[in-house]
Amino acid sequence: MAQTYNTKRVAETIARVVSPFVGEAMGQSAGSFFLKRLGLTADELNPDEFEAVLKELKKGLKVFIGQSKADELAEEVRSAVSGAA
Amino acid sequence: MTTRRRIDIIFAFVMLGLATLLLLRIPLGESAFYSQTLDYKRMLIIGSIIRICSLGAAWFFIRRGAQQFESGNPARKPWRLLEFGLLGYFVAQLLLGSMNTFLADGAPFPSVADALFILSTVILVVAVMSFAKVYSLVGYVAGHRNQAFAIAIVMSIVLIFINWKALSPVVQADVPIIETVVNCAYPILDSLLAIASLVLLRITVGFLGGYLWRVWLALLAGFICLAAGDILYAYVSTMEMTNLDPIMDVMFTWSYLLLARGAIDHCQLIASDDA
Repeated sequence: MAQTYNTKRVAETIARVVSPFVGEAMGQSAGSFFLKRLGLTADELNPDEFEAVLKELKKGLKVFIGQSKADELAEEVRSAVSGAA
Repeated sequence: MTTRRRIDIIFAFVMLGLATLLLLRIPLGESAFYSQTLDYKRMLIIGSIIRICSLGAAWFFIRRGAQQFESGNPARKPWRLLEFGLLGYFVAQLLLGSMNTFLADGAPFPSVADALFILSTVILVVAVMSFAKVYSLVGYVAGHRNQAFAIAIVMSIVLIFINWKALSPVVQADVPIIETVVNCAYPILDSLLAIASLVLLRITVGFLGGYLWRVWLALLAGFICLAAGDILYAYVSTMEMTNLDPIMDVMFTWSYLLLARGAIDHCQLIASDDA
C-alpha cells in the first residue's frame, strides 16, 4: 500500500517550520493556503500531492528567503512529515 | 544570549549614545566640552566615519544577501537595486566626508556627492517600490492591497503639504538655480522614499514576529529616518534654524545604522542554517 500523508499534519508542519521566518499569522495561513490553492481537501495526501505541496511551498518562500533557504525549509517539512507518517 | 541579541544590544547602545551626544549640543553648544574637546570639526569627522562605516556595512551585507537570490527569482532585481542604491550612498558619503575633512572650507554645495546622493535615492525609491510589487503578488501576503493604497494616498497628501510649506521659501530664495534644484530634489525624492517605505511596511507587517519582520522593520525604519532628516533639513535650513542641525545628524546616523542592522540580519537569515 502506497504511503499517504495526513493533510492536517502537513499544514501544521508547514506552519511550524515557516513561522519563525514569516511570523505566526503568515505561517498558519501558508499551510492551508498551499493546500487550498492545489484543491487538496481530502484527509490524506498521496506522494504526488505531497510533492506538489512542497513545490508550491518552495515557490512561495523563495521570493522572501531565496531558493536555497526555501529548499532547506521544504526538506525540513518533508523530514518531519515523513518521519511521522 | 544569542549573537543576534548581542548585535541588537550593541546597535541600541550606539544609537542611543550617539543621539545623546549629538542632541546635548543644542543646550550645551557653548560649553567647554562642545567648543573645545568635541568641537564642530571633530564632530563632523567622527560623524562622517560612523556614517561611512554604517553605509559600507549596509552595502556589503545587502550584497551578500542579494547573491542568494538566484537569477529568475522576482526578488533578485529589487535586492540588486537596493545594493546599488546603498553603494551610491556609501561612495557619496565617502566623498562628502573627505571634502569636509580635507578642504579648508568644507564640501562645496552642490557637489558631486549631491549628484550621487540624488541618483542613489532614485534607485532606492525604485527598489522599495519593486519590493512592494513583488511581495504583493505572492498569494498569501497580498491581503492588504487596499490599505497599502490608502496609506500611499494619505501620505502623499501629507507630504505634498509639508514639502509645499518647506520648499516655497527655497524656490523663492535668491540663489543659483542649481542650488534650488538640489535643495528641492532631496525632500521630494525622500518623500517618495518615505511613501514607498510605508506601503512596504504595511505589506511586511504580515511577517510580524518572524525574522523577516525584523529585517524589514530595520531597513524601512532606516529609510523613514533618512526621509525625515532630509525633509527637516530643507525646512530648518530655509528657516535658518541652524541650532537644530544635531536633530538631522541623529536622523541620518540612525538611518544608516538601521540600514546596516537590517542588512546584517537579512544576511544571517538567508545564509545561516539556524537563522
